[in-house]
Amino acid sequence: MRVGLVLALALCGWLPGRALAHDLQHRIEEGAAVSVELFFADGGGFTFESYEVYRAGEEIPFQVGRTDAYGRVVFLPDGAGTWRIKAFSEDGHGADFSFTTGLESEVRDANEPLFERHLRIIVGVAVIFGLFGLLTLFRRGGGRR
Amino acid sequence: MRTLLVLLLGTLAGPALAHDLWLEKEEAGFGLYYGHKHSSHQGPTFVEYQSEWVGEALCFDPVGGSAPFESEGGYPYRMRGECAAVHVAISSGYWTKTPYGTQNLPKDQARMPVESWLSHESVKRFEGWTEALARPLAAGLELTPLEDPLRLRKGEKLRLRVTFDGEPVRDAVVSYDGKPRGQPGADGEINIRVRHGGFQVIQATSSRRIDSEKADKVIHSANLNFELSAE
Repeated sequence: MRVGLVLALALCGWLPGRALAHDLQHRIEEGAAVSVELFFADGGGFTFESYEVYRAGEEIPFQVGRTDAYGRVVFLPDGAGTWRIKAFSEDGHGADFSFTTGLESEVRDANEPLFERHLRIIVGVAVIFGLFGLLTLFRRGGGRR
Repeated sequence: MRTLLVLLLGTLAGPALAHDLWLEKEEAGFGLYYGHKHSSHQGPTFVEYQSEWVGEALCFDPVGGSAPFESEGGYPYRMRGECAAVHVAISSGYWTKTPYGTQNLPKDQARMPVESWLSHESVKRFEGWTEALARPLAAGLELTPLEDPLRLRKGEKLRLRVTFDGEPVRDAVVSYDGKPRGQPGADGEINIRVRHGGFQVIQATSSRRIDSEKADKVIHSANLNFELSAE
């Protein structure tokens, strides 16, 4: 009798467990993510395009998806390592590059092209040159009067 | 300062997203190829295009007259003939970016369009030169050498004119080996320095906004090919 009761209770626990297997749960946590922005030379984002993230040496991707509305790939490394990102669009554009992250997901080695690495500095310097030029023209114009 | 200007041009080179379209010299003719073999930006070396993308194909004799040729459809498109200059135009049609990727569809046929464009590309290759070829040879965006490009040496400059339907264009971005080098003056003219021997790829791109249900803009891209001795 006691054995039957234990079995019945176990079944009661087991059956709801099976029934709940299709009830998708979720957990929201904060984490250290890596954000990789993909963009063209004109600054236009590589938005809504396919990408794959691979751990170095592995054939099955760690993550697949589409870049977001700003052209970003965001993922959470599960440890230090080298990561490879392959991104490609249906019209034949794409990129394939690797970088290394540390234990806290900090980026340690990113081989960005020179232009991308210094784009903001370049634009900043250009704005300064432009303002200086305008100021010079303004002063010259004032001197003639 | 020059480097800074060149890099800044990259920010203007919105339409400089096109692939390379080039004509390779083959046995008794030319083969048309598409991809990133000569680009500075990444992508597949060869992108197989659809044969129906190929539009106008022209073969010119040394005095700029039309010369006969045989064509072979499919991929790659091939031309056989004695041509001093060859010109081929293609259009991959309408492209629309959506949250589900970029699709080869007009805007009005795509779900959730974000951005759309119509693509027109062309390539012109020189095998010979006379003054008669120093003029636009076809419709649309075109790069025309104003002097014999085949006599250039590494480090020398080539004077070019960028035209659209024969008229000078100044809003195009001109690239060499996929790197933006400058924009033409009001007369459509620009100097491009040849930086190596062998196969040469110079490209002009221009984008114009249009009022259409099918696309937001038209992107024109014109390629110029010629071959120098490998130095």
